[in-house]
Amino acid sequence: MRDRDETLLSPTLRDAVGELRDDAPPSDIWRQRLLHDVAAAPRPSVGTGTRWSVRPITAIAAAVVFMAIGASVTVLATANEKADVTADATTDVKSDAKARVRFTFDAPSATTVALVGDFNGWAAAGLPLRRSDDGRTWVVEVPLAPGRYAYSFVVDGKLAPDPAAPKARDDDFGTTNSVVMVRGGE
Amino acid sequence: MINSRFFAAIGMTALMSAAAVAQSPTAELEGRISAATRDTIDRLIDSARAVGLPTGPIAAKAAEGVLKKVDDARIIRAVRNLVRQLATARTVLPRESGTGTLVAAANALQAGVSTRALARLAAASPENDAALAVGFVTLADLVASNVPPEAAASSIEQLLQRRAPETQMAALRSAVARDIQAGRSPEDALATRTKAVVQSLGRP
Repeated sequence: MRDRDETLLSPTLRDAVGELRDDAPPSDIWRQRLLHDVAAAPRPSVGTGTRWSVRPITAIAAAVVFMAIGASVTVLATANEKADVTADATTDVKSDAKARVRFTFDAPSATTVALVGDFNGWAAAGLPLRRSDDGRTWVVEVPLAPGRYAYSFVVDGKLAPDPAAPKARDDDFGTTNSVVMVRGGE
Repeated sequence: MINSRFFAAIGMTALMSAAAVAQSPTAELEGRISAATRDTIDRLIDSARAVGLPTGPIAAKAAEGVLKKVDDARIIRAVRNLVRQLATARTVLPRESGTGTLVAAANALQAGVSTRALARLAAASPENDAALAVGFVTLADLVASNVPPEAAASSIEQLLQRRAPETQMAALRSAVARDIQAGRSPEDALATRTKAVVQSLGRP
């Protein structure tokens, strides 16, 4: 397009355009001054190190590693927090060990039985009970610090209170929880 | 190259999103309650965290409601009540009180015990957080057995002043419940049983 347009110019103008288009070579004085300045200038401190460059897969792997480290720190912090609470709760009762509390539930025809309550944040998955040798009773042992815990069984997906435990009215949700008290040693 | 960078960015975003979801205290409830309800609960938990309240019991309260299949409005109400009770309990308990004590105090408030009564109990056991927690638990259980809250608080205050061990608290609770089941009035049962325990402990 441009060449075709230039054909329309007069020969004089076409020569002038051609001169303007040519790269004018720098003068020798200018070139020597430039080289001198470059040689004399201090080396910049930034950019002299290794330039880091990683592949995307490496970046993802690094991110996973960092997140794993972060998650570990979080888990450790949570564990420490729990340990502190346990220590606080047992300061006066002279027991720093959790009691292993045995929960049992008779349900010979049940397929699954789980335990939910304050001790597991009422998480739906619950703590699974195992069927005992007699085939009737389901059992689980849970380490618990001294305190009062509301709980319930989940039998084949349905909540079922513990018939062998005291009950406590749950006014928030209009239901009844079972209650276990774990006493510290004295 | 552009494709690999694009997929790397997508991968990073997905991983970061997954991490963010995993960190949410109500992550377990995703898909089991409405997004709006979960947002509300997350905001309540954030506000509780901001003022230094324990968030675990609050998330557990929401999870309990979901597990019991109650409606979302009721879950939010229960969570909001718990946050309010924890905040009230925090104002009357020593700063160093543990989560267990704070939750026990909140439960006592929920049972109908007054803030003033909680403060009296805290003053009766200023240096023994574990005993205070046991006192609050016993108090809430007595009130649940139809003992008037103020009378129950006075009994527990006496026991805390005399440094009653946990076994005595448990014995009082069981004996009063037994007496009430046997037909005695809650007030009489409490007065009689408290007197017996106090006599066995001596002066504060």
